[in-house]
Amino acid sequence: MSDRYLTIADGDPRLNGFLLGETRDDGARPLLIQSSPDWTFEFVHLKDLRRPFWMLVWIRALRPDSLVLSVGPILGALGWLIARSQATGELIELKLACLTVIGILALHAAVNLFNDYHDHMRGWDLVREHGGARVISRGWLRAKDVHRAAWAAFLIAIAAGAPVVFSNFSSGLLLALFALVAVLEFAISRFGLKYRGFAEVTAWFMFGPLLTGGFMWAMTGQVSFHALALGAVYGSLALLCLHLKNFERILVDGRAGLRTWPVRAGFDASKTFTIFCLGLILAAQAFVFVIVDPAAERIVSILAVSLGMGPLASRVMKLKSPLAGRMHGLHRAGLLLAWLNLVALTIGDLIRNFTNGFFR
Amino acid sequence: MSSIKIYNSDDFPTYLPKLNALYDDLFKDGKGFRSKLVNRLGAEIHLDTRVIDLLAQTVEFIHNASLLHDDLIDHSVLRRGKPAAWSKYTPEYAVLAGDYLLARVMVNLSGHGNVRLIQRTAKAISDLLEGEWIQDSLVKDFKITLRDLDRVHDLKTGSLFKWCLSAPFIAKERYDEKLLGRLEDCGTTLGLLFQRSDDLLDFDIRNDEGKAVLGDLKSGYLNSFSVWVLRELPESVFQKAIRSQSLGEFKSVVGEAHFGARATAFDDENQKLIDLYFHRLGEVRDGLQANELGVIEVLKQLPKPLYWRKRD
Repeated sequence: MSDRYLTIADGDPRLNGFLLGETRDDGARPLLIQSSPDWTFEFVHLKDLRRPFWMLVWIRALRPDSLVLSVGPILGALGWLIARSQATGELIELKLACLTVIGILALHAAVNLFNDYHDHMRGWDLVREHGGARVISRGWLRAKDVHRAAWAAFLIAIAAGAPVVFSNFSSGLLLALFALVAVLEFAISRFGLKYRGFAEVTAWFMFGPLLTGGFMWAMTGQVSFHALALGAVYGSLALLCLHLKNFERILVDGRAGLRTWPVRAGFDASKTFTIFCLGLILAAQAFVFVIVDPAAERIVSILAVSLGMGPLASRVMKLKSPLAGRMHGLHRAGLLLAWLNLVALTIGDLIRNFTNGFFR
Repeated sequence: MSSIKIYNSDDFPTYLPKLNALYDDLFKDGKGFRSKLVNRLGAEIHLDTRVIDLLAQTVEFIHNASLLHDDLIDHSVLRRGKPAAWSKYTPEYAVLAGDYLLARVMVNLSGHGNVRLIQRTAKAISDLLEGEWIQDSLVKDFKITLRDLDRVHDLKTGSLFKWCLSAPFIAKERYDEKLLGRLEDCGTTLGLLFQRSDDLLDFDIRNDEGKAVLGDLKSGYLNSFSVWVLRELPESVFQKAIRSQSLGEFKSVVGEAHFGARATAFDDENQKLIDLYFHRLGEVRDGLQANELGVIEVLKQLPKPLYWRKRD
């Protein structure tokens, strides 16, 4: 019989080591191919793993495309605060703002890494499945290294966030609470909101008004309606991305009995909900950039995002099957839209603040 | 393998002669692979012969019901070298005959009285139908991945293999969940192997049965081997290849050398699945009682005919 595979039961002393990525005596790395009723590993030699260059693997592990969801609201709020400071004369501590951006980026990266690590250790991330960065499941990185990196990123987040917390304790506490909830829910599914159909609402609030409002509070000691309204734009983008992520997995989750929102709503309703999310983004943008704070430079983002929405909406409405090839990459398409929004908005803010003389 | 007759003259109403004629045509020349498998497994675990017959009939009824529906959905005019039921007897009769077989399954099993068995069988049928439904929705979808096809095949093809391996134990009231889970894992692998081998026939590889070549691709369906051959090819080559009208044209578009290399790599990939299957047999063995170990010998022989299409 081939020694390529090994099955061990729960409680086997070797289990934890293999899950963490310890190689066999002959140097073969264990890949998890089944986790129920027992744990089955496939042992593959490192030379057969077809690993990309190590730096690319680590970049992939951080899931940089998803970072837009947390850094976008901060940069969006920062751009507006700078423009506002030109008019009101209030001071923006750019050092503190930079630390917040670094802290949020590091926290989000930590969440991504913790998420991959915990999914793997629970046996949810099998070699033939998709979702997450899949750097552990494919044997490109050892789980224990990913775990260490997650802690390192988390410590960076704490180090960068500490001055923000101490500069304004109440708002800092709010951001710290955000960090705690983000880690517990999105990294280790502590509350299981995803399976209760509430994750989308949580994501809208956390990556939207909570982040923009919390950031403004930390920077200025107050929260304005504008900041919260701006949060609605980013929250809606996060809502779209999370929905598309769950929608991509509708068949797998449905068959596993997981009650995510797309599973509850059904295939056609999920398509409609995608269009609703797109409408929500446009409506929020129009509300903020046309009514609350009209600025020609920012309206460009409405145009850019509208252009990006067309292909996505058309793609979603043409879907005929939960296993259709076009289902793949929907989440990524949502993130692309978020990046488009961020880039367009940042360019708009740079133009506005440049013409206002901020950079002089 | 000789053809099998899995029912008696009193199984179907005599006052519906067309239905009987349709079934005579349908079951004639069937290889009865699944029922023979159930027969052998049932014997190895010392199941009552009447129960074995019931299980064998059940799996053939479900399988043939799926063929009746499948041919109509795919518009296949031939089945086992003869006119498909829907083309000979009308689509309406083909649908009704398929439904009738599934209903008979439930009548027969409920007469036996093992609720777990009825439940497991109903799940196999619903999985099979779900697989059929999803597969039909994938026609003209040229972005499908091998992993997604595996999911469809696990439902459509694997469901009955899983049933064949677990049903004898359930019928014997051996409700060892771990053992049943392991048997079903073996069934999943067998289903994939069988389907992938069947997909190779479409490219005239080990096609001793003389099945129609390139039928899947011409009807707009990418099967597992076509996905395997076409992935990572330039888009222009891909677009040309999926419009091929003959195997020769397909090979010349993708390149004879590339086709051959991918066929070898496909076999290598599936050999890994066979290795996994044998590994899983080891797990099954651990769950068997001493007087059931003959099951392993039966199961060991399956990859050869199922994937390599070799018969002893």
